[in-house]
Amino acid sequence: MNDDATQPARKLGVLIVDDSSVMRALIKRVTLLTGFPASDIHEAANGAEALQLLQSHHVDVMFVDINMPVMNGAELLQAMRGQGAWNDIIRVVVSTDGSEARRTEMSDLGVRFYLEKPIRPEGMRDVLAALGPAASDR
Amino acid sequence: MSLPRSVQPPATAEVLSALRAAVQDVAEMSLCSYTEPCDRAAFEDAWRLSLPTAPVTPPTAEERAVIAAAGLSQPPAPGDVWYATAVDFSGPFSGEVAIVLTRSLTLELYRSFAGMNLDENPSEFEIRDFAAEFANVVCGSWLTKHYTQLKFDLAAPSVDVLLPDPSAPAAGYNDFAAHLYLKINDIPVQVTFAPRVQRAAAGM
Repeated sequence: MNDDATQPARKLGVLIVDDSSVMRALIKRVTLLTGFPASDIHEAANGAEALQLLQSHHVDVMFVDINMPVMNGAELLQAMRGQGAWNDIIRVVVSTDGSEARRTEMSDLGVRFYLEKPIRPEGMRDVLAALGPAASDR
Repeated sequence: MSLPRSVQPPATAEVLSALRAAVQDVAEMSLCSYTEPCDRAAFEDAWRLSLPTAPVTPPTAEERAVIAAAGLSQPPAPGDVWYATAVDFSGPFSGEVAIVLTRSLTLELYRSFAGMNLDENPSEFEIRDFAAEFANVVCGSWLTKHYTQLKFDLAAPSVDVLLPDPSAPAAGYNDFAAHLYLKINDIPVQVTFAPRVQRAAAGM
């Protein structure tokens, strides 16, 4: 029984794009542990796989690594630009590269949140906490 | 303000110091591990002791002395596999960061990273994938912290299993490469910085 009188949070589609399977597993695990209202969590090992997934799945939030083979994170975000259906997807970068130069580049590509590796669960929890309201505001 | 297209690679001592700090940061802050200084001799002793030809019977007094001198409370087991992970980076200066560490240490760090219990056994693929990610994060942390105004691209890290060979892994590099040694959870690790710019300048 749900004692909470407020409207239940809308479930959100999540996409994790990282060439490291262990990193994808960690992001997925922390996402689930924090109680983030995820409906589905999809995984892609590079930007090209992510674009394919985006064609056929509803995604509200995506976690994107930058340095990946085949198609890197910057190329993926560039490819998503101007695609109306994907404009509202909240983009979160998760990368070892936290330089100011890279952050500026990612911000220009529509990135809302930036997590620097090595990620700490509490840092990710904070971002996830901000993601729910951000998704509702869209 | 435009960013410089290229810069001289930093001095070797500066790089090694920064890389040491990056390894310490990643190991201690994110993987609940501890690091200590160590020298090349300790690493090479650990390497030699792990070769398949190393004794599988309890060590002799002489071998115990070697273990003690290397400061190894738990020497790598004979036959323990070593991984050589490498990350190429390019940008204002280019090169490679490589880390050589045992499979058993990688497994220990991975369990810590993933919050696994000791009775949970990840697949070989996962362990190697984590070794790659470890090198990737160390290299990225170093570059980000020390060159925050510059932009580097990191290639996908590679992981090789080192074949049993009496010569230490440092022997495979040229004169421009620099190595640092430290212990993570008591196990020696070799970290190498090999600048590409200097190689090119030398016509290599």
